[in-house]
Amino acid sequence: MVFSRGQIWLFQAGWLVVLYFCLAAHVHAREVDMPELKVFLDGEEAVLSPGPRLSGDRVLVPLKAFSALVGAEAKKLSSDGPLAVCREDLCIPLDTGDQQTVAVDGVLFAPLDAFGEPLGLSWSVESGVVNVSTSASAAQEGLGIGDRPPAFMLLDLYTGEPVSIEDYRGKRTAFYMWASW
Amino acid sequence: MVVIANDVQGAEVAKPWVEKAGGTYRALLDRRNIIGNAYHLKYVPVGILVDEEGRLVRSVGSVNIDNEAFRAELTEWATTGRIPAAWIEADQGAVLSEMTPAEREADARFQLALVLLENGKREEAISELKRAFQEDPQNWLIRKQLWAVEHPEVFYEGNVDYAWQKEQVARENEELEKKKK
Repeated sequence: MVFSRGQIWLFQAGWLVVLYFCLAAHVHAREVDMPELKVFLDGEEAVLSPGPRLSGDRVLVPLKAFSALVGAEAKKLSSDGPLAVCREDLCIPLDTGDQQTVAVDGVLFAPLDAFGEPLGLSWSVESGVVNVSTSASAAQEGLGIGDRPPAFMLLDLYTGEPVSIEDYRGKRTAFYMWASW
Repeated sequence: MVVIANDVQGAEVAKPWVEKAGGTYRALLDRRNIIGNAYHLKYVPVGILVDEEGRLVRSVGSVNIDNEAFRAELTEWATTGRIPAAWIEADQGAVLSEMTPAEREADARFQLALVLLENGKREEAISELKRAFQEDPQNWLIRKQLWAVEHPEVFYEGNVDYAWQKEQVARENEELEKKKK
């Protein structure tokens, strides 16, 4: 079978039309699957354009803009090294494979859970809003092994003499609180 | 070893217990929930374990000296200075969060109740303690002090009546449920 020039053109154009609808459907599906979210940072609405997206139960954030918002920077660790989110001395490298980062309309998105926790962020999603809190770091620094516990001063049960936790510096000490009830 | 009695009613209700335990350790009295507030804790028993440098070796909170495993860990640390693996594990989830407005109100009412109690205004103290309990029902330091002030007969005449406490918890929880609806 021999095609005329016109037929070949129509054939090719037909493929383009099919391709167009495929792409359109794909983009459309993406928008439906990944609704855009508003961002609140420590209770204040923050402007991010484009906004984060919800993919399943994961929050995807526009990497550059979101990093800047939380005082960090998204950059390559070396010219051909991995992409990382850095703040001061701390860099969290990102896996740029299919699972981790995704480009939407030319903007690179990364899952917040790939770097949020090490940066001391906590977040939750509720009715179209992602609430990001930067105070998680302070809370987690709160009281763990190696930390200095809050000082206190109490009176001796018998003598009424004031006693402070500092009085026990130099000794391994267990303070054990109980009650008569 | 230092023990701290969490008793608003003062040294006299706490002493018999220290004497019965026959310990030679120092005993302190916390009448004003100083430890509970400093460490954001709502229950006893509580352990604050610090090393020679005054640094925590175990996250603050739920430990029970009656628990054999904990006693063995405590002995190991006290004699060798090595931090038991179980303590490092317990450290993972340790956080110290800020008080919520309701918790702050509960504490303010609790502190007012103590002053009222000292000034012989028992009925007013009970009513403040009840409101404190409503604001922060999970705070056992408040809840049990309310019981001890309102029903001294089940605490300070012979043995503490734990069966009564169980019934009281059931009664109160039922009330709380009703209020929710």
